[in-house]
Amino acid sequence: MNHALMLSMAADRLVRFPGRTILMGLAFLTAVYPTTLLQMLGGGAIEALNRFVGQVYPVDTVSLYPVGTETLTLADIEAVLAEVPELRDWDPVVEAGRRDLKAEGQAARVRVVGWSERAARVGRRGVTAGGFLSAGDVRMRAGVALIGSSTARRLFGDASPIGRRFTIDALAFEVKGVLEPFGVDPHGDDQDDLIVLPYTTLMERLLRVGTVTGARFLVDDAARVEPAAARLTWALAARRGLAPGQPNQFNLRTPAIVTEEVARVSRLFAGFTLAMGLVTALAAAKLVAGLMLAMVAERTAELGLRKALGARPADLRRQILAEVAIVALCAAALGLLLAALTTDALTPWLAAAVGMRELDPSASTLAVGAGAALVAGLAAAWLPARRAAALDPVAALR
Amino acid sequence: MIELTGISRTYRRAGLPEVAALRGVSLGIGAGEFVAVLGPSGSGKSTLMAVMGLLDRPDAGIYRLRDQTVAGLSEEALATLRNRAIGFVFQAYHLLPRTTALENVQLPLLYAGRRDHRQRARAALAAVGLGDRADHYAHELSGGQQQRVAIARAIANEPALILADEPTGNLDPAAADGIMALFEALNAQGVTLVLITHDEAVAARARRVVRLEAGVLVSDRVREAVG
Repeated sequence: MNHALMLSMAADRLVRFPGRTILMGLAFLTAVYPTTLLQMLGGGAIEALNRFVGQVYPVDTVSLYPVGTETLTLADIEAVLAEVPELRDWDPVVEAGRRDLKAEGQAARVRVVGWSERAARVGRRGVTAGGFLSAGDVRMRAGVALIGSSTARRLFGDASPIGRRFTIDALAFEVKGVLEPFGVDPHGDDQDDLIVLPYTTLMERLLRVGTVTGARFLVDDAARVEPAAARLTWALAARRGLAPGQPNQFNLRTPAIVTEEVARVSRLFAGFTLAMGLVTALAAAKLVAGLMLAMVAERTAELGLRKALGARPADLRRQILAEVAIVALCAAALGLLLAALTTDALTPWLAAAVGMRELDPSASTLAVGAGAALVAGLAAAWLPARRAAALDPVAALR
Repeated sequence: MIELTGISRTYRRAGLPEVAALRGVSLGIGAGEFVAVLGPSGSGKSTLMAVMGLLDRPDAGIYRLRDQTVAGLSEEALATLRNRAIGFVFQAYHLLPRTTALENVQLPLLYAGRRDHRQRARAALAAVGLGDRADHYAHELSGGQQQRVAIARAIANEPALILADEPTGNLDPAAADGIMALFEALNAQGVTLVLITHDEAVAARARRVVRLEAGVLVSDRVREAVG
């Protein structure tokens, strides 16, 4: 019997017994849909994470954020710069946390950070309106600020914020520029809800501290980032009197380290998706195997008749496998479509919440979804198919 | 056409006594014959039909169908031979549910890989007088009509041999008479017919009657000698 006729016969039986077909389809759907949805959402999250990491940690930078009891002073940074010639430029980061702002009757709680005039170069984030911080602003501890677009909208609506004034802890500031939009980070934090002050102003006039939160360094050659980071660590360790190899609390972030962390998250997620896919596929296969065994028992007379009429054992085996394969592929297609529709519906919310962009199922997602359903289905149907092929027609027709 | 020599078939099941359904049956049936196999329940008639129809293998003896010894044939080869050479008619019709008469008749043609399965199935239905019922589902037909569909299915591949197991057992006398007339017409066209029955009146329509009792062939007579 040729394959086209076999498929047509299998499809015909599926259409004529819709209850069983739907039940089997649901088993596959419950495996394909959540796994594909998870795979698409996870893929989108990893993509958002990669994009975020690329923006925050450009390939030619090293970031230093001391942790625990460790602190970082401007003198430390000057010493490091003297010891590590690959460091071409630098910018301090001073975090003041979320502070209460007041502006023309409006109040808001906003994250406040301190940067230097070099942040545009080192951190690759300039302004879309007005001007950036100048060396003079930093030197003079000026009462000027850069404002994120979300904060600007909250405080000043759609009007231009340039030249507008606000206060933090009774200190007055004038908006000098609007920061380039960044979007939402993978944690859901709006990176445009931000006020940037000259770091000197923040340290000396607002926080009254002598240490910075961290520093970003620009390396003269992206290929020399890792050796520069190692030398930076040694220089700081030597300054703290630590022996080589002794534990330290200098948290250095290089593109390679961050990329590896993202890759680890990605692998963890892939493993989780695979495990979930396997569990759901096994559950679906178990259900389908049970259904098909019951079906073979229920269709004993029909299968026996087919044998009497000339069906070879292989014909019956193929028919059962074809029936399951058709349902598996149709359910997989439906599951993939539903997953795509769900992600479409979730995209606006995900974009606002965690910075995900529009999610399209990749060719590999489609292939894995359909392939897994097909393999699970065929594996589940193998035993029922063998039973059908081995039926004794005399007993079946009795 | 059929040559059975010393055929025996014993059913063995764990915990149950052995049942010798056929015991050394030897029988020859020539092409174009119309033979009734007569016997009471449990006499081995259906087992004999299963063996002749290649649905069961004997434990002992030699079976030659169309000059071919079937003992060494694989399951695949038996299926092909069954499809091409034999048509079956069962007491319970065995039509596929939720399937039209035409689709039921198409089945053996599909397994034979016939491209003209639709035309042949229509022709077979027309030959049994059901040309206008082709698109009816089995449950929409009377018992007699369902058996006619089964006969159309049996002849669709133009087999040389038709095996009918109690084909009138579920029918009223009028429908049974119509079915027997149809068999007689097919036999007149040269089809070899073996009819399994326990009904003397039905057997009397055959030209030759073979009688089985307890798995043993006890008589083999032409019609004139019956009764």
